[in-house]
Amino acid sequence: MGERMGHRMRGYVEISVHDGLPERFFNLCALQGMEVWNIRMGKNGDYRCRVELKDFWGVRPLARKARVRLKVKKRGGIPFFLSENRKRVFYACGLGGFFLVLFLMSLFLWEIRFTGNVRYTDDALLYWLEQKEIQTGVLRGNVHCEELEARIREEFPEIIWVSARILGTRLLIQVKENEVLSVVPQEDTRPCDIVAERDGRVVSMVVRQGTAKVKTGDEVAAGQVLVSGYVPVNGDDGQEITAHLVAADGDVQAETNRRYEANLPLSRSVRVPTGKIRKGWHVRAFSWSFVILMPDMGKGQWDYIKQERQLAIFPDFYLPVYGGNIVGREMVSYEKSYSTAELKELAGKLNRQFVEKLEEKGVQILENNDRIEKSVSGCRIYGRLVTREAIGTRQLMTAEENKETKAFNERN
Amino acid sequence: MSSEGKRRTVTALGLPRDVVLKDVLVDFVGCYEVHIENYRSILIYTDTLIRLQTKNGRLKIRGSRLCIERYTADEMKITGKIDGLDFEP
Repeated sequence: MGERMGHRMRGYVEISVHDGLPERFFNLCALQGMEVWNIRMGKNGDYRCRVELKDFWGVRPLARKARVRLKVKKRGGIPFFLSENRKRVFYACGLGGFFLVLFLMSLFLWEIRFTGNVRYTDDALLYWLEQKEIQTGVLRGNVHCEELEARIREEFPEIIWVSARILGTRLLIQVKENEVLSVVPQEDTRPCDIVAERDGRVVSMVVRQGTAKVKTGDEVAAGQVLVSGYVPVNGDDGQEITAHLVAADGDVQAETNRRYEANLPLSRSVRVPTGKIRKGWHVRAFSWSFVILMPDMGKGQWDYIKQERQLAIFPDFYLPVYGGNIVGREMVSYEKSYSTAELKELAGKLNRQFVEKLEEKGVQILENNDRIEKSVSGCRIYGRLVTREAIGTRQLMTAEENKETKAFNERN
Repeated sequence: MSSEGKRRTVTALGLPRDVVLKDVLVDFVGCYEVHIENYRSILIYTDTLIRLQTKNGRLKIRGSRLCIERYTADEMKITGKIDGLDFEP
């Protein structure tokens, strides 16, 4: 490839060699250090070969020595191209203009790419860069990679390593995020109670700190105190002498009931493709866009899928030109009522989704029942689950409670 | 030293024979391309036969639509349908 490019850049001549001793002529050329290529037999029994333009004048004495006759058959390469087109001013201007535009385009950034980011999305990072006036279309010279790296590290504490570099018209930002917790969560020691998050029956209870207000088997309501942070100290006579306020701590498991419900109409709108397809192409540059699409002969609804790619002349030379193909599929919509099988499938899907969500939270499913009810107005899918889960949640003590306890302690 | 003696010495010393004895070096890429080094000159070239002179003998390449894609003093590349290669003393 590179060799061929070199021949074209320097210019070459294809010659026909006949009479005499062609093999000797080729050997002499090789011995003189001239490169001869594409040696082949011609249709008329002659030999064809190519030599570089700079060697062409040197082969004449060799041809005399080998007693062969040479005839130029073809000339190619840049020197001949320039010579042939030297009078075409507009052609040259167009060519020059093309390279000038390319050069001007190469002064700007046309693509920003991030790699290694998981916590911070591309959109979030791009938005932040935009705030700092770094976006596609800015001059490459205005982007200082080292400064940008420092600012990213400052702004995003979870990014522990960053590398920014400009390759061609692309800004490549590679980041490495912190995979461990950067801040160790501090335990909240403020006085608090543990209250029930929802209604249920307590099935197990472990209290590590505080005073238990319920016992196993008790029915509790949402908001009821399960473990109190108020710890009284009683004297020998059973009278309360003083009290401490602590952060209640414990695990309270309870059996709870959960319900879900979905109401559906008797029928729903279904869209299906008719099989008709329209294909086309689109080009977008800056705010200008152009679409070529086969004409629509019917009056149907069309769903379009557009694939877009950025134009790149070389791997790192991206331009602000986007292009791609468009595929349109004709769709028709109609009303379809739910069949029993479909309703069962839908109910099963709803149930699975609900159960999966609960299991993600660590809820244990003890019973799982779902039901479908059909009426004139529509369908109702509902489910009832019996679950076992931790229902305790922290609730900070009010300032009044704190004050009352302090006053009580001072009195005693 | 005779030619056979030189050959034995080079083999015993583990030296590359193409460098020391100028043995012809032939690299085939399938049956459509061959690269040759350490030759002296082309003796005959037609589109069905190429005969080359090497230091230690001659090399005959038979085939059809044979074309010398590159020819310099050091190496040559032959393409076409290659049917066989013979060494001649």
